[in-house]
Amino acid sequence: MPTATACREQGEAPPVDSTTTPDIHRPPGRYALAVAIAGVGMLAAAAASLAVGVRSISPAATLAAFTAYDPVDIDHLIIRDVRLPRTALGAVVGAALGVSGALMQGLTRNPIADPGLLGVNAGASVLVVAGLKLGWIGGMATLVPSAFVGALIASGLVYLLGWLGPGGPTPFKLVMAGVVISAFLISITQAIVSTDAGVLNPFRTWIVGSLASRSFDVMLGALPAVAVGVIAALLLGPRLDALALGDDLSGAQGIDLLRTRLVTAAVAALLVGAAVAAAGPLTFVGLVVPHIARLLVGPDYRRIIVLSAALAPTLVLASDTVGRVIARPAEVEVGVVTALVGAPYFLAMVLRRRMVAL
Amino acid sequence: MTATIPSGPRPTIDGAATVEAVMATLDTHRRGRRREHRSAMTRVGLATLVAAGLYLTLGEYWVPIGDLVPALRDELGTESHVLRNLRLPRLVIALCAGASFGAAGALLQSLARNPLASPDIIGINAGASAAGVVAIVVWRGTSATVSLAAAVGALGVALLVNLFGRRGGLSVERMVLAGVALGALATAVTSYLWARASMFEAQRANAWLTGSLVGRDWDEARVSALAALALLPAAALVARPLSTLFVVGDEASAAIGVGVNRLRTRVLVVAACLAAGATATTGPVPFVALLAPAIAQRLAAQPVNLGLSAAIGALLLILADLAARLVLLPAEIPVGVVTGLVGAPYLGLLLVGASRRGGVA
Repeated sequence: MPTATACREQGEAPPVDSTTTPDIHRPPGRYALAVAIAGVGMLAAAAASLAVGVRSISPAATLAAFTAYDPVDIDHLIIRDVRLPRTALGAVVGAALGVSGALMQGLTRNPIADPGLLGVNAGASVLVVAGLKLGWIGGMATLVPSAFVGALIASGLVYLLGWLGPGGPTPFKLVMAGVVISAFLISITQAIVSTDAGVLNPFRTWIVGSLASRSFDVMLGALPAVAVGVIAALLLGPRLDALALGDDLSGAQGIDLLRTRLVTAAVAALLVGAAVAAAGPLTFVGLVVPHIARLLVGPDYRRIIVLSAALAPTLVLASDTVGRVIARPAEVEVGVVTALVGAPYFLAMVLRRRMVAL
Repeated sequence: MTATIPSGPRPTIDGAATVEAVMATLDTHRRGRRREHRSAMTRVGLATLVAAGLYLTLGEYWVPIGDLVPALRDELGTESHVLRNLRLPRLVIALCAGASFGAAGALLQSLARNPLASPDIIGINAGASAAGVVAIVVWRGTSATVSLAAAVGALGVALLVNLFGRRGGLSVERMVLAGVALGALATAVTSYLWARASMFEAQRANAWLTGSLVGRDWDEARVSALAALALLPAAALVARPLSTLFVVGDEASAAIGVGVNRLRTRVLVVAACLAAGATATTGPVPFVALLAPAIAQRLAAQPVNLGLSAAIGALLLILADLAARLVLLPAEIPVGVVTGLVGAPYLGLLLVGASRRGGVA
């Protein structure tokens, strides 16, 4: 099947097939059902994240921590001060990653766009390390903006490199550009880390990707950026649908291509930057979730974004809960669990060529 | 760039071509560039010699050129110690590992017909990294254990990438994307262990992961030299049928008796062994395997630019390690940082150039 990009090069109209243009609105019943199930899943994952952990706490005691809070009960303290912030952060980070993944895939018309593959994590890392080295990062509060700015710069560089040359950002070129930019930034990161043991320690615990030991302030720091980003993403939805038609057709609809792309890239970077800053790089969430969402509800971007915003927190919270249980009494960080789940999914996509054409 | 590996339409020969016609094509192809290739080889060889001289001379402890030979002969004295026990083994490793990386890159690029195929990109380095860190953090292994583990990790990923890339016909794009996925998986393992390690092991792992030649001694140099001496001839053996395959394509190669599929597997295994052997002593030094063949193709294009790529790889690693020792004197930076900072922009240019010619993607 010729892809839309290939057709654009040949100056033909994109092929009309069941996965692109027609049938943009599948039966609303199916969409409502998918969102309802995802919502229930998210609540269940959140409940599990509160109730399950290294210390066993009964469901009754978990409930009691909210209904009849006893400040001297150690179980209640753990639930309210440790697991509740962690669960809230997981939900916020998950939503940010899921929605940004959907935006990046729409922007690049590329089913394998993922913040982790496209250099954003390396960008956040390099500024975090620079900040630790030069002393402008003292704690999580100052780490978040640095990681955010780094993510923004790196994603800009990757898009720029991926777009150069004719043919635009094909999947292969973007992944390669991500590899190139990441390799460059990782070299800078390693240069700093390997000459300063004081930087190495905080860096290696951040880079693995974890929700543990973050206070409510971290979540509150990320929340405004994520809220703005998700709302902006919903507003961008129809424009992304137009982008999916190809440059010629969307231009004919009066869409300003360049501005739409710049705004979308900025919103995606805002979301990823906030998530990476708060939790470290969680690879594959932003890749897997929008892909599943598209399989479930079709190519309407507003629907994909809504569903991703519910599915991604489910994935992150479930991964985090699983990570707490599988290696008791030790914990496996959520970033490791998402990679262990996501990489095989990605591999299966590549092997089966089941990538939904964009 | 005039003469990178052609990634456009491969030279085809009509299905009915006779064996004589195929041989004639091969002959003219080989004869055409021979002089150019020989002069490039001489220039690179001389440059490597000069670089090796500088490598021994320069550093925190300066040894004047006139003193090099007496100091190497002498058994006593500081100069002699610095040269014989510190710089010379390191130079041998840079030479052997650089040549191995360059040769591995040349084989992979000709195999895939793509100037971007290299052990860095298709996850072989990430596999070596993960296995090496397992050896450092979990087994608290000696440097020999770490080397062995890295070699096994590199080979394991190479075999998986080969397996995935082959399903339903060899596809380079699928191979690369599968390599990216496997690399991400390996990186998750690496960072998990890294976060858990003690401070000492974390630093050791970091130093190894970056790719470094700091503190290597004769034992390691001997291993590196043996690996290169065993594998480079093997590479030369597969290079000749591979160049036939590259020039005349699958059908015509089969017609003159080249077992195409067996050859491809053999080439991949030799290339992975070369990369694994080099990574074992130096750690996963990025980009040498990618840059060396690219530069070789610019100097004198060949279907499989094995010898020139190996020579350039050695030259690159010697120069990079020299820079790594000198730029922050008296401190050293890992050689992997130097190759990464220089190599990534070059790869970027290559990517843009290749897509402009419509080659990649």
